[in-house]
Amino acid sequence: MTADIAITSRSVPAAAHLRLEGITKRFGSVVANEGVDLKVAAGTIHAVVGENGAGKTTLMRIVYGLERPDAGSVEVNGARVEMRSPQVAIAHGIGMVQQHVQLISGLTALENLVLGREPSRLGAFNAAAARRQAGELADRLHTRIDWYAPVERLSVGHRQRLEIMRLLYRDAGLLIFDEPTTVLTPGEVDDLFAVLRSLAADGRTILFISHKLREVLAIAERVTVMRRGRVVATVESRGTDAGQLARLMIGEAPEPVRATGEGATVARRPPRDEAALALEGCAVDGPGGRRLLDGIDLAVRAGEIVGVAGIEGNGQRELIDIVLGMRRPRPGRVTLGGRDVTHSGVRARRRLGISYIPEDRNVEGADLAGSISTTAICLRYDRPPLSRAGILSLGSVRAFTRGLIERFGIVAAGPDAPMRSLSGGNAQRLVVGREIDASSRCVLAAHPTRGVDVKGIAFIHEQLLRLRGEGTGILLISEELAELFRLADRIVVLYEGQIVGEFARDAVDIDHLSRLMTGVETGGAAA
Amino acid sequence: MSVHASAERVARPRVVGGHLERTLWTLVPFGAALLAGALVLLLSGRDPLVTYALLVEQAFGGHIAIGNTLAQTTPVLFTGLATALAFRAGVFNVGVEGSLYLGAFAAAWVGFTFVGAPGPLLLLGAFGTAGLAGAAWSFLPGLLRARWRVDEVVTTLMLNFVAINLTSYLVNGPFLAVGTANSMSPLVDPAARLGSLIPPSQVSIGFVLALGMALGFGVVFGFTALGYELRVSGTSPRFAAASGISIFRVIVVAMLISGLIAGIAGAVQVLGVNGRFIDRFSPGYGFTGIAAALLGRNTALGCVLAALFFGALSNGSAMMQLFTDIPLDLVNVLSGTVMIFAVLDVARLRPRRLREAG
Amino acid sequence: MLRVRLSAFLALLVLVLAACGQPAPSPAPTQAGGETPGATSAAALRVAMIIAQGGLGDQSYNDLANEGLTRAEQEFGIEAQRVESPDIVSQGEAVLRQAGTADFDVVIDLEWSTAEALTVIAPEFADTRWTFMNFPVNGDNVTSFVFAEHEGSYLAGALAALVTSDTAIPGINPEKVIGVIGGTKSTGIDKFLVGFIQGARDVDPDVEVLTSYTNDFGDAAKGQQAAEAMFEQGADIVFQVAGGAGLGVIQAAADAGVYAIGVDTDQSSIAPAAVLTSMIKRTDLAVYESVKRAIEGTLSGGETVNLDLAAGGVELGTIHPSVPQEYLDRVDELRQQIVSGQIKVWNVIEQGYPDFLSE
Repeated sequence: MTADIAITSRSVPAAAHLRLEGITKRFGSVVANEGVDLKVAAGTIHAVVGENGAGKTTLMRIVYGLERPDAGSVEVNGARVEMRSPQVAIAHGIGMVQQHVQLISGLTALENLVLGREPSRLGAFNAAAARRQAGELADRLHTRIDWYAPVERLSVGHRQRLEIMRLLYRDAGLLIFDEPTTVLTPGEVDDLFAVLRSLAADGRTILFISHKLREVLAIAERVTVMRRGRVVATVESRGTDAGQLARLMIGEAPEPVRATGEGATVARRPPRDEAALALEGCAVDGPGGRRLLDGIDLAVRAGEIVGVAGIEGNGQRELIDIVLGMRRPRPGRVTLGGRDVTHSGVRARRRLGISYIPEDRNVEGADLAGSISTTAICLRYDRPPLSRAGILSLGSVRAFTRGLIERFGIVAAGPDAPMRSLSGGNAQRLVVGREIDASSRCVLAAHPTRGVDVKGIAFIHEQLLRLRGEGTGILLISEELAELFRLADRIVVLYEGQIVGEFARDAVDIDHLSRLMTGVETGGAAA
Repeated sequence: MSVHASAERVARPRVVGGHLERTLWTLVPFGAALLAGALVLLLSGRDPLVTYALLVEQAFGGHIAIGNTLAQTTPVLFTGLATALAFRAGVFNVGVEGSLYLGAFAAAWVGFTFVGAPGPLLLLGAFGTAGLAGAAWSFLPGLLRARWRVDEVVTTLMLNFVAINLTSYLVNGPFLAVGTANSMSPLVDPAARLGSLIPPSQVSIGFVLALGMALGFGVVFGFTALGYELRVSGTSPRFAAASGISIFRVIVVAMLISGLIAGIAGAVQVLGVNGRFIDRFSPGYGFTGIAAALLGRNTALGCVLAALFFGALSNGSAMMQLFTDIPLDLVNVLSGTVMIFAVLDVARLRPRRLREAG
Repeated sequence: MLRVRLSAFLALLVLVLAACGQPAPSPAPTQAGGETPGATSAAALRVAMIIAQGGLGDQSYNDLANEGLTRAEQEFGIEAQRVESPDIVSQGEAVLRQAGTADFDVVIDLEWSTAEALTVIAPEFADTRWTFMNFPVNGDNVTSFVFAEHEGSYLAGALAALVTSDTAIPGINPEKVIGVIGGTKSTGIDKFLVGFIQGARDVDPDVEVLTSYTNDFGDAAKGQQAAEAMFEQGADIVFQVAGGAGLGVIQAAADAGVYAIGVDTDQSSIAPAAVLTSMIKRTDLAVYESVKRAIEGTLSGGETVNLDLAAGGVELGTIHPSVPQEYLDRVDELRQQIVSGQIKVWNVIEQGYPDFLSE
């Protein structure tokens, strides 16, 4: 995957605060990091960018001692360190602000700040000293904070600020931020950046993980791009632009499968003109009034696959929720086969023929504590032949499950075997089989091939294309551009809760698409 | 959703063929408790074997002893099932004690108010009212949890105190038996009393009802659509929700049934044993029920066995005091140790230990 | 979410542990009496005592009764077993029957909820002599001990009436107002109230006696509220007949710098400065008497023993040191008059309600 990258890193100044060499980390058969080299100069803001799953977070967890690498070394200020635990990292002046802030609710801001290293006088907690030091830290960050408020009453931005202060209180010289802006409002992001700049000016080193390229270019001096566990480039931010970073991040455009190749085995009929699923002006507000989804207008016609491209966390979850009926859009309207289901629950929509292949089958697709039957019957247990008058017919349940096992070639000991005993691929076959077995008008598929082997992927793609041919509308949410190119008739791009662009299957411009996905270019600008 | 249940499931990677092994591990808390008790006995200069022999004799020696043990088993079996049902559905109802008090009072009220009514009608009325009262009492925390995600542990726990004090007020005030200074209601109509199963021991046909309840519990979870919904919502709430099961409904229904069983437990205690409502009559049946549910792994059979253990301990230890100077603290040590181990869930420790050994 | 769940789970753990500790672990009951050297003789009388709800260590009824049993053990060398259970309310009947089966000579039942059961069980075990406290239970081999609480309360009322008129005593205001707080409106409690009011009126008809009920025997806060309300109306001495709720009365008196009168046991030690005296019911005496009579062969049964002032079954406990001697003499004089029958104290249980306290 050696791309023709012209920009190589210029010589890093001698004082490398952190140096990683040949870091490799595997989780089972998944390679999270492979031979990663990284140098971070002291007193700089250094960003690591990449799509979700590119290995950024794993790398940072290794630096912070939360994971041990299978190979490679970590050097801090020129000395090799075994990062056995976060304690070791902290002792070497490394601190990490994780995505979800790790504060203890019930304690005040001040108590959280000093917890574990309380100033004491004559063996007793010296509250005055703690308060004084807290005040100095807050001044340094130009922040006001209510030190006596329980942390759960602070805003997300303030909690993050408090966590930064905790690190400074422990004298961290290298601060790692894992996607710090995803939980913040735009105003809070600006404040955070001001804080980061002042920290760097103070001589501290900042390592900043993100997939939002505009932000990265605004704050970092140097940017390392990761893709599929490897470092593909390290560039000076002044010498690059977002488009180039986006291309590095997303990689080469996979050859869309057109009417030839594997995809052609299933005949593609043009979509019919009736809407299987339609969303009109749908919005969802998150906690604190942040818009998680905004003004979504989207229609999936019968016999059409609409792909939703976008980096995770840009409203995909909320989109799933409003389509499935787990959440009501406010405002907005959802119709299924022309019927208004905005106010219907999940069960009613399921009855109307919506199928769901969830992003995480272990959580939403299966009951790992139960038998295979338990997972298999979840859409039909309450109706004949599986049950009558509320009484399950165990014979019918087993027969039904056996039917799925046979029809979809699932390797299983039998209907009563534990769900946990199925391999990932077989479990996914069961879930997909169950969902498409119901006569579906519309399939909602979220990352349907994540964590599935090649054979499984082929099976799932085949099923989706078959359904498409039978006139089912499919909404396919995926990060795998290859998957989208291969299956979708149309691709829309979701960025920060909005649809920022749409491409017909024959007119995909990979550059344009990746710029939209990473927010380099807004939908408005594209139009 | 249920920390305990899911952790327990995770702890068993090999479910097939592990039945015997699993059963043996279930016995560990009991063994540990007996060992801890033996230690206490030794330290206080008593012979553990002699003491345990006496305990067993007093709990099971003869039909009267067995009857009295079953009498002590009955309320714990009911409260254990009530608790287990909610736990299975992922609802941490620790308010069984409160529903028990309400049910007991309701049954007593019917029993002493409609004196002279035909026996079957009286019984039906008493049980019905008790069940309704228990269910109604758990409805509010269920609704709060289902609708606004208010932590049910807190609300149900608090409502226990409300229930105990409310019934205490009723029985000290408006419904105090005439001519007594002590806080109890009048006796219920003899026609509303449950007969003894093994006269002259105290076990009433309420024990049969409890066993029937356990059977019903097993049937609901094994063979009904409702049981399926409760079970799946408890172990995989997001899977259940995505399948179209209304978690709201599951929580409310689980709380209602749990309260209903607890209310019936109160009725059985009043109609079968005490004959009236007595202020603060329960020594914590609801809480022992939590231990029984945990020990019994939230299964019907498990609850029966755990309740039997607590019943035998309670009866045996009370009776043996007639024959030896045994401090009541020993009983606390025994049941306390069992509960600690039940909560710790030894099964979770197992894989690590095996790995270390191998 | 996980954290919430975990904390909930920890709360549950605490709860479960608390449940196994029920009842609140009391100071370990001393069992030394049963093993006193030389106390065992071949002809030793075997006595069982059923401890009431609340258990040993309640610093009240059960502990006092246990003192009587311990004294009997030491004096007579009997063999005594105490049966205690957190669930005595439902087990009481079974324990009584088992005690009968085990051929105890004397069974002393302190648990009040077993009265009906005892009437059934006692006849089944004719060789065992049974005693019951506070409430007459019928049976040829059952002896009931009741206390003349009205007589003791009379003396408490008299003392209160004397003291409330004497502003020289610290905390006493010029108003002649005293009060009595009952746990509930019932004849058993009003027996105390009526005796108290009668004693106060006999000493000084001008004294006003306030009455109220907490409707609760357990909640100290309710007793405290009721007492505070009375203090606001000018009361400076309040007699509590409300069990655990009454502890709040004593607390309120201590807080306000006035006086409370304790009940059942000598409650002076709870707040020595605020307890004027206590109306003591000598449960220990009843227990001791049962054993003594059994040894003497006079615990014949079919009898209700009235432990009155004359028998020493009720008495005033420690009296506050600031009460002048002349009042003590006056109270003692009244005591003699009751013992000699010159003064008849109204007994609500036998006589119904007097004019001055409505039903």
